Amino acid sequence: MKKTIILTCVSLLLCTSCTSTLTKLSNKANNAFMVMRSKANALFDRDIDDQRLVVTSSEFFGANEEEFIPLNEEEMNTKIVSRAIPQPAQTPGAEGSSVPAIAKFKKPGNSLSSLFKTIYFNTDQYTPNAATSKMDMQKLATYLKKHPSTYIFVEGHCDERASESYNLALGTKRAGAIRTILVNYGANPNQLYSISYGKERPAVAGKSKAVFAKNRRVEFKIYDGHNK
Amino acid sequence: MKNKKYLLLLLLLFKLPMFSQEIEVTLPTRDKEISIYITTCRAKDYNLSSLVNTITGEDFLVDGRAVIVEKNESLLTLETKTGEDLYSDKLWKQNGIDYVIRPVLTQETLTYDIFSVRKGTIKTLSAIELNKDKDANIFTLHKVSDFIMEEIFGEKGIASKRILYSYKPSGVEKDMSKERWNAEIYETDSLGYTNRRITYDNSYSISPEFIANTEGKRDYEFIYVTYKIGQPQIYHGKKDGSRAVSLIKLRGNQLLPKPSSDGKYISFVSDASGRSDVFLQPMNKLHKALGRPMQIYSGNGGTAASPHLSPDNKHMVFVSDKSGHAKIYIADIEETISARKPPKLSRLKCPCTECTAPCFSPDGTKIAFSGKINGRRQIWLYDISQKKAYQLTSGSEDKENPCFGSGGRHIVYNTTFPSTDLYLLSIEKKHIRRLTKGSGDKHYPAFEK
Repeated sequence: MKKTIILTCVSLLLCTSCTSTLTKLSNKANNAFMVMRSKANALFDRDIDDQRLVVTSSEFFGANEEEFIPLNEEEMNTKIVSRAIPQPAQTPGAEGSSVPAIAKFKKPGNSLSSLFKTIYFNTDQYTPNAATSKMDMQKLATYLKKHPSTYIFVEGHCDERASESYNLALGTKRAGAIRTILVNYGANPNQLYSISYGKERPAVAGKSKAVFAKNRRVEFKIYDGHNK
Repeated sequence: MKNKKYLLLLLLLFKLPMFSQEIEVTLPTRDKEISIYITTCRAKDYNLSSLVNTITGEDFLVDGRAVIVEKNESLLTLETKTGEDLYSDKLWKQNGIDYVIRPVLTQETLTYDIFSVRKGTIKTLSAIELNKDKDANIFTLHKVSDFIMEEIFGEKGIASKRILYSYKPSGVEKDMSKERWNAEIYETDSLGYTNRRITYDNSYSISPEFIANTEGKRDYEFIYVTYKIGQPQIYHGKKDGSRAVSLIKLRGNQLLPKPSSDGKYISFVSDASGRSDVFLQPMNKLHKALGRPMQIYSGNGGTAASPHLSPDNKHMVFVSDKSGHAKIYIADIEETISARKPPKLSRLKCPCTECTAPCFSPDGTKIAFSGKINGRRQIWLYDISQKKAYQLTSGSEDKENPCFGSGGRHIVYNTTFPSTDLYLLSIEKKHIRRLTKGSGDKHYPAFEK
């Protein structure tokens, strides 16, 4: 009986003193999850340079040029986060924007269709699946560097299995991830606009796994500022 | 042998959720329900009297606060009596009826008698003029139903509350090569009898929400997301047909807006920073953006969706996949608004997976959301004080986007399989009414508060 009481007391003491340690462990587990996610991408030979240790709040919350009021984060240097590439300041088609609305953007024509191929994703992932190679992305980035007056809409789509609202948000992540990869390969972020369609605009109708795979995608639309 | 037993026990523990049965809703109900008898309206204009009977009867049925007494031969005979003979008869009491509602239509003038059987009092509503416009008549009849409900229950119902939704005609996605991809915002009534288009953007518009006080007004203001220039942006529209304008000045995709109960904020998600973030846009009394939006939550490489503020604006509920799967979090945002500190999050625990589209009840004590169980997406109700989730719906349809009606006794939602249609659920009575039919997708419903 005595033993049980002593053991219980010791356990309780250990539990109380370990609360902060547990929080730290939980944070580490979260970070580990992010790193694992990055390693999973690396398995498919992706070089996304997506995960990093941040040192400034703008790196975490994204540069916002005073467009919104950002959060203040303390202990920023403890976080491993994905890199954020803020959206270009100009919204295409908005009042005063030199870039037109999406109606003027076209699907890549014959000469460019092999370059601007549709990118596919695994379920609930926002990094490309094995069908897209590092070279594919590098070629795209190089094209954009050579054509500074070309603007691209990166369109993120999802399959129909997750909910409508969640997919709208997931679509932004998919389009944003492709944008990030292209910027990491040297493309100018101001040439790249992302857009999320969620599951509102499927490429193929149906309920099979093959159909779902075809709908989890990113497509491109181009506007050539030289040939208006 | 002993090890095997433990192994079996462990396996059972892990497998249990897979075999979990659908939970029965056992929400507290009223001690004694009021019984109401609605007499049949008979008039020369059969169509109009039929409309009065349908709308009044169904409004009370959907409301769910009273038992609608079915007609029988003796009650039908009693209905034909007039004046004192009608209301003095003991048959009402014998049938356990508490109130008799009697619509009387003379040409296009409608009056109602509300007879309290217990008190023996009669209240006659002032004359209501109907006309040839069926939709306008339906709106008027709903308002009258709410008025009668207020007389009987002391609180209005949802009869006159309108529902906004996005309607995508079927087949348009097959024409993607021609860039025809269209969805507009529509309005329907609480019974789904009227359907009126209210946006003409010739674009893809979703996620409508009422803003401002709409009480009893034919015209109202609303917000919605439209893809008309490309990236989805939140627009402010008016039902009077004036041109909708962009509401929030923020780059990138603006999605899933929800106004706060007091209209002081609009929560939404945006990728302006390059991440999937949750924002709050302060609003002024004219329902225009007041200053810059505030970043409330910034996902660490994850996706954030469906933010909604509690009625006291102290908490926010939203979806995040920060743990690897979509889960619902409640954020304490008082210090986030005042001191820009990242919010403290607590996860909403529930027996389902892929929990999405949460929304607070009007009194802030409950959260409705969509979650998957046994392979199907159902509507759930989470009781914040009990920390317990109740499954509200069952069946083979996938259900999403729940939205509370005023009073918190009804939820409107849409299915996404086998068809995309709107449904109205009476929480206490478990009565479900389909509001839309026909081809095309009817989704993202918003209930007028």
